[in-house]
Amino acid sequence: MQAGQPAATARAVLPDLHLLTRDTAAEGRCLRQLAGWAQQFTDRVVLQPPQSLLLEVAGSLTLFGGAETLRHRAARELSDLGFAVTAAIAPTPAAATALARIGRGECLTRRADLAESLADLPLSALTIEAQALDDLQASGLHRLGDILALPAAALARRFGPDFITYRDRLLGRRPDPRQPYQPPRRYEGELELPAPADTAAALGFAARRLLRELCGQLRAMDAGVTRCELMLTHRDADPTRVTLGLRAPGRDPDHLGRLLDDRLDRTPLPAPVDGLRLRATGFVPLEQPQQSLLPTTDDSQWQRLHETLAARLGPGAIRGLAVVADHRPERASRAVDPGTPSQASDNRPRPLWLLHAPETLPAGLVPDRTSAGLTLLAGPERIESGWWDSRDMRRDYYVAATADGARWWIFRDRDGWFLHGLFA
Amino acid sequence: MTGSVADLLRHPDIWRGGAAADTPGLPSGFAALDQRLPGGGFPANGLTEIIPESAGAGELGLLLPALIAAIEQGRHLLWVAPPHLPYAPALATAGLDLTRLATVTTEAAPDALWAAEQGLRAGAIVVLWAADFTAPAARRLQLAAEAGNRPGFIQRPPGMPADPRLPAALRLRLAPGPVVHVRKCRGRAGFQVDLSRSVQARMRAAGNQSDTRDALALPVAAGTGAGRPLPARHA
Repeated sequence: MQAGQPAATARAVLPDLHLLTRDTAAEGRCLRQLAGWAQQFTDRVVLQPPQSLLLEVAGSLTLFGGAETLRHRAARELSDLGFAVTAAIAPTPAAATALARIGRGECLTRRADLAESLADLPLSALTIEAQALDDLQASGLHRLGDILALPAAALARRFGPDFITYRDRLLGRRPDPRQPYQPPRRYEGELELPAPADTAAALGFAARRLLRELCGQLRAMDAGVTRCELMLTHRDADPTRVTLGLRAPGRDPDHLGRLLDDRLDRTPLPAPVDGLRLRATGFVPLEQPQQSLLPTTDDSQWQRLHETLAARLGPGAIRGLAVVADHRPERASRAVDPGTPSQASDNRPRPLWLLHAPETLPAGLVPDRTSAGLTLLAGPERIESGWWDSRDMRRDYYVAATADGARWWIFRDRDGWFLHGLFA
Repeated sequence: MTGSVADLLRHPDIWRGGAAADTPGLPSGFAALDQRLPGGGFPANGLTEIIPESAGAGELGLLLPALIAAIEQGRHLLWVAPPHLPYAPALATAGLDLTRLATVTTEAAPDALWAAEQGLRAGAIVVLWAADFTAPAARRLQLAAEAGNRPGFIQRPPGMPADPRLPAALRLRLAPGPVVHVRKCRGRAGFQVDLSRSVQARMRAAGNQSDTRDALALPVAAGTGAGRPLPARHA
């Protein structure tokens, strides 16, 4: 089969042929999605529909370890994202485009040698009208070198002044300004699955493509997100939504991927999934922290641990602990977001464990004059509150020792004796 | 075959009498205990199993000096499935920086084990309260402790009989006091250390003045009258 064949001819050759309609709108969305990804290399990315992107990387070469390293990295990331790609670098946008169009993944960096290096390019590599190409080939011209050998005046007469402009831009003899793409400060990427999937592993794998794009765009903008939402679409059911939350703005695709795996493991699916859509808004600038304030590995691992645990166990499962300046024992210790600083505490005797609720002391342990069940070691400490906090309370607290030597925090109020804490 | 013998000897189930302590431990902060523990402290990248004879036998106080010192070196603490509420004022008074502590509550034991494993692997010092604790779970946590190079402390329910089949680098029984009975540790026979004096000295130093006076005089049973039946549950 050949490109440009009528569908009927193709079907005659291959009766089982599965024909798909080209969706140019989807191609455009995809190209913009990739332009977002490309922002990590440079902020000057130009869309060249239908299928190429131009990146002005002259200013990024040192950062990425040279032209060839950068080219490899871009090509590898794109092929990880599932695209067939040719990445070429050249001193002019038109030359890089020409190389990529015919699959020559090369890296030309010397402007002086450009004409020579491009001389053997077939004319099909050029971004010119099909009619012009036919005319050139009909004139017996097949390689770029053939054209470069001709005088400009003759070419202009034959193929028009635009062609001369194009040739000069190709070789860097004339400026070639392009309008860079302005990525939005949000991300929305979608992915159709080749076949419906219902395992967390398959979905996680597919979703990583989108996460990598999102994180590429975030890196480019020196930004991070604290939330993103993945929508799993089903053919015959409402979409399933999975939300990922981070404690601090982040953009590490591997970390987000692991969080997502945990969530997917625990998300029931009404039906197999045929597509994914990832959305993130609220990009937060990530300033480069001062050198001395860089978090240690311990600190960043600790942040990630919270996210990992919260993703699987729920956001309320992991809590910090803080002292609150409140004389009521139950209120003086509070579950808070981990890392919340404490208020000042006084140094009264307090147990390491507080019971969830005070427990009535068994009759045999009530400390009175005759019982040997508990020995009072310290107290009483009167703790009172009244109508102002809606819980009328008057308690006398004691530290007491049990017969086997454990120390308890007990109190007496008008209802009797209670165990409230353990000096563990 | 020599490799497999060496592997076998590294197994936490196996300890060799008198073998030299391999790695420095995490000092417990109690000199009497550290002097006798291999490596001079709790296993720094292994599991310590703690079985109090009764609730409140000192199972937290025993760990506090080591945990506080570790925090000062930049570590973080993860307490998984504590049976009661860790009480912030007491911990703060003891000198523990609460901003570096997180607690995890879970619905099911497997989640608690998973959280403890994640914590160790992420380089946190983990204290896990576990009633059900099987040998495979212990081995997973041991591996996590080695991977994260952090100590893990397994707190068992009070009075539970020790299960010698469980791998743990160190197994302690705590009688109130606390008196520490070391049931198992690498390279040493079991022994017993009474820490009651040092713990009380520490409590006093931290302002926790519950000294061991003998019985206090009780005020005469207050207005409601002695002998009144106790309510079943406090409101």
